[in-house]
Amino acid sequence: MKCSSGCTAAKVVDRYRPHEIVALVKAGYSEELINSDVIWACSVCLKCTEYCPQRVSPFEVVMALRNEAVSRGIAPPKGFVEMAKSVLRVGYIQEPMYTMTKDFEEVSRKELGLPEMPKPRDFEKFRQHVLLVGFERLKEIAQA
Amino acid sequence: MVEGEEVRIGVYVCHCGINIASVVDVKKVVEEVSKVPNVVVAKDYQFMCSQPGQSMIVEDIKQHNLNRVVVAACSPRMHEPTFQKAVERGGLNPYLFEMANIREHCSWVHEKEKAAATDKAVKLIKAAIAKVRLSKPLKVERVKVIPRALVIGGGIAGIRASLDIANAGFEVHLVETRPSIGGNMARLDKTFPTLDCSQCILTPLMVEVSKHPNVTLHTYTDVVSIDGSVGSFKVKLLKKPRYVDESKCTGCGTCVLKCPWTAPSEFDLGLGKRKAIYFEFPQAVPLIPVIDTEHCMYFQKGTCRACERFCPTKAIDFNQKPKEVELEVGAIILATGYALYDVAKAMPEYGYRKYKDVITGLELERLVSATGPTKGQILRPSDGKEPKKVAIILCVGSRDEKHLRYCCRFGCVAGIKHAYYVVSHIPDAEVYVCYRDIRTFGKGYEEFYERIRNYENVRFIRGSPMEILQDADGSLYFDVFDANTNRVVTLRPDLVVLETGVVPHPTFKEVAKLLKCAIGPDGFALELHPKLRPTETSVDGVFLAGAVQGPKDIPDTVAQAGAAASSAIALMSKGYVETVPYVSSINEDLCSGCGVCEPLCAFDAISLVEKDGGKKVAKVDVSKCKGCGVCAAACPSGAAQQLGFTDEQILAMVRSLAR
Ligand SMILES: Cc1cc2nc3c(=O)[nH]c(=O)nc-3n(C[C@H](O)[C@H](O)[C@H](O)COP(=O)(O)OP(=O)(O)OC[C@H]3O[C@@H](n4cnc5c(N)ncnc54)[C@H](O)[C@@H]3O)c2cc1C
Ligand code: SF4
Ligand code: SF4
Repeated sequence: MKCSSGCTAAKVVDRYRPHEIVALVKAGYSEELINSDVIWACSVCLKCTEYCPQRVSPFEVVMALRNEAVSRGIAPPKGFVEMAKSVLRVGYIQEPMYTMTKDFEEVSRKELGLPEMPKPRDFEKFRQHVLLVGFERLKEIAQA
Repeated sequence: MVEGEEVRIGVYVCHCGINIASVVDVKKVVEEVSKVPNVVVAKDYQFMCSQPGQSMIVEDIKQHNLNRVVVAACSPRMHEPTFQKAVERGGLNPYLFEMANIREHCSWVHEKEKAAATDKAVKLIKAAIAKVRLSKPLKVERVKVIPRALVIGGGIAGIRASLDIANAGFEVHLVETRPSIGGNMARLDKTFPTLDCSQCILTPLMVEVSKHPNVTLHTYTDVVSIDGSVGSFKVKLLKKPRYVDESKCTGCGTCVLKCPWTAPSEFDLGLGKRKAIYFEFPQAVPLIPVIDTEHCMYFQKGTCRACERFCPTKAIDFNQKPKEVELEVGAIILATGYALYDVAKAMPEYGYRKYKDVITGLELERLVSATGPTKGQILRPSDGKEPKKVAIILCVGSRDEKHLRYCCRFGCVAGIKHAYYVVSHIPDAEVYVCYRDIRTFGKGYEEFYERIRNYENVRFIRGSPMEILQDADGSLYFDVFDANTNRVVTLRPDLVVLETGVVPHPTFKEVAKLLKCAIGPDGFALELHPKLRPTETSVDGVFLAGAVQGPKDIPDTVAQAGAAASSAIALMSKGYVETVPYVSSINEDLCSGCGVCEPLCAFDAISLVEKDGGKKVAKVDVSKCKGCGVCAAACPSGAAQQLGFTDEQILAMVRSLAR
């Protein structure tokens, strides 16, 4: 259960435990998972793949479940679709925003002297590539 | 039998209860094989290996004047020696015998095809008949066993094995590469599950072995070459210079006291310091110091010589040279033990060697030991403070497909013991033991686990962290998912103890190469049979004791050391070994001296020699030849033949099978 110890998503989503996803699939609960929001929590950091002592890759299992869900027209949670849309719009799951200091002061990257976030050089080309991966399908499902 | 004599063969078909007879039609087989030329008698019987079965062979040899015997039964690995002895009792050379395996090779694998299986049985037996017809009597030689043993490695395994052999009245040479014997057990403070003090039970044995009249101790010594084979191995040792005359040194320690230079102590795993001239540890056996030339100012810069000046017995000798020792021994015991897995390099995510307060279990043993770098106090390395929160992580590198696939067999119980160390030294400390499974298989281990589990301030967390991180203020923290509570908890320990996996001692590979003994897929020495011959190796006369064969706790190590010693004693008290006669033989008239065979022999058994008249021919040293047959297969002139498996015999079998 090293995956669940280090999982980036599990730190913020209590219900999400990569080891549990693998165990559920092995035990025959794939249907339940395909229809569940929980599989959309993974942040694709690949730490589980890197450190699993048994060469299991929970990440890949999660991806397979997501692909199955999408191919059946099961919509991902709204937040996930919003992230996908944002990628198509600005290249990030979220536009770079301000951050908060210890004293609850809002500061922007500029104020911190940080450079602008880099953007895809040829944005249209980037969009086309992202669409190839199947983002369009996500949007369709979400709209339906 | 006499050359040119008529060949008279007896064939015996075994039912093996119903193992063979329920599939193979044994009556039909007998009928078929009795038609083969030279077969004088052919019979079937329920259990050929039983007393009546064997007697039948003995009687028939006499009554029918048989001079060849074939038994069709199980695998020759099972019963060839049984039937060879029966044949010998009947008055024949035991090598005028052949076995056809109609069980493993026939009835067991063709259960559902009875007719075909019967057919195949007939074919296999006919091939065996074809071969035995050309068999010649072979001679078993007796080789004397030198009544002296070599033990490589002076840990608890090597010490115990040496004492057992010495007490049986045989001479033992115990070789240890470090300046003192004792091995890893000497580093431990207490031993689970009874918590007796490790030094208290080990040092008396160290002293006993060093004082035993039958034992010669070679410390600070390496094995450089091993030749020969069972019964008479020729061994070369290289004694490294201590720069201290052992015959003069009284072990008073003045030199160590006076030496102004220090270096990290190997024994304390770098946690403490030692002098440039040092005893490996206070109870070292022998109690003779050694100069580490890398850190000695005299060796580095040419000045100092403080030790020489102050030594009351003038024992310091800067001119000491490495010394070669040659030995002849009849048996060898390998006891080179283990080393810890290099987690600093292989698992950087745990921060060992990056963060000072991440230590190994063995390092904790040194901290807790009264003779260790902190004189028995648990103080964390970064600031020398007493840790109040300690995390112990099990299975670090063990049972991991990306690291070591095997279980280290003592990490769990060592971790439980380490939790005890912490709470017994720092009663108000909190201990967290992060585990994947707790394996307490040994006698008293589960009870020990239960005892420690009941401490209020020891918590067992079912899960292992993925990484250990450091906060801006330098403190350590990690997240761990606990399956028992289904929570990810964040721990901020003052000290992290890693129960690291174990690997064979780094020199083991070299030693195995010298001996040509097999190494298993995990890198440890490969035993001849995992259950039935766990102390023997692929090389006759070489036995295994302790962690050299795989990770082992002390009880298992000591048990195996005793078993290895008794194997060596059995060999030496018998006094001789019988050679297997299936060796290579060179027909000198056919040999062209091309030398193809020489480099192919893995056992260095073939060399080219010059005959009278200058002709070069290959010569086999039968004491080294293992009968692998490589030379016979490679020889372009057919001069090299493996006795018992000559080209003629193999071709006769092939012809028979192809018919
Ligand atoms: C942290 C920790 C705690 C442990 N606690 C316990 C416990 O409480 N109870 C218990 O039962 N077990 C315990 N163990 C296991 C115990 O250490 C081993 O069972 C034991 O040391 C094995 O003994 P050995 O002689 O086979 O190997 P080792 O102790 O490794 O000895 C091998 C010796 O051979 C020498 N050597 C190696 N190569 C050569 C060579 N080529 N030539 C000459 N000499 C050589 C080495 O220098 C060494 O002296 C613990 C282990 C660890 C890591
Ligand atoms: S890849 Fe997904 S499941 Fe794996 S550790 Fe990262 S967030 Fe967790
Ligand atoms: S070398 Fe000399 S000073 Fe050092 S321990 Fe031996 S006798 Fe004492």
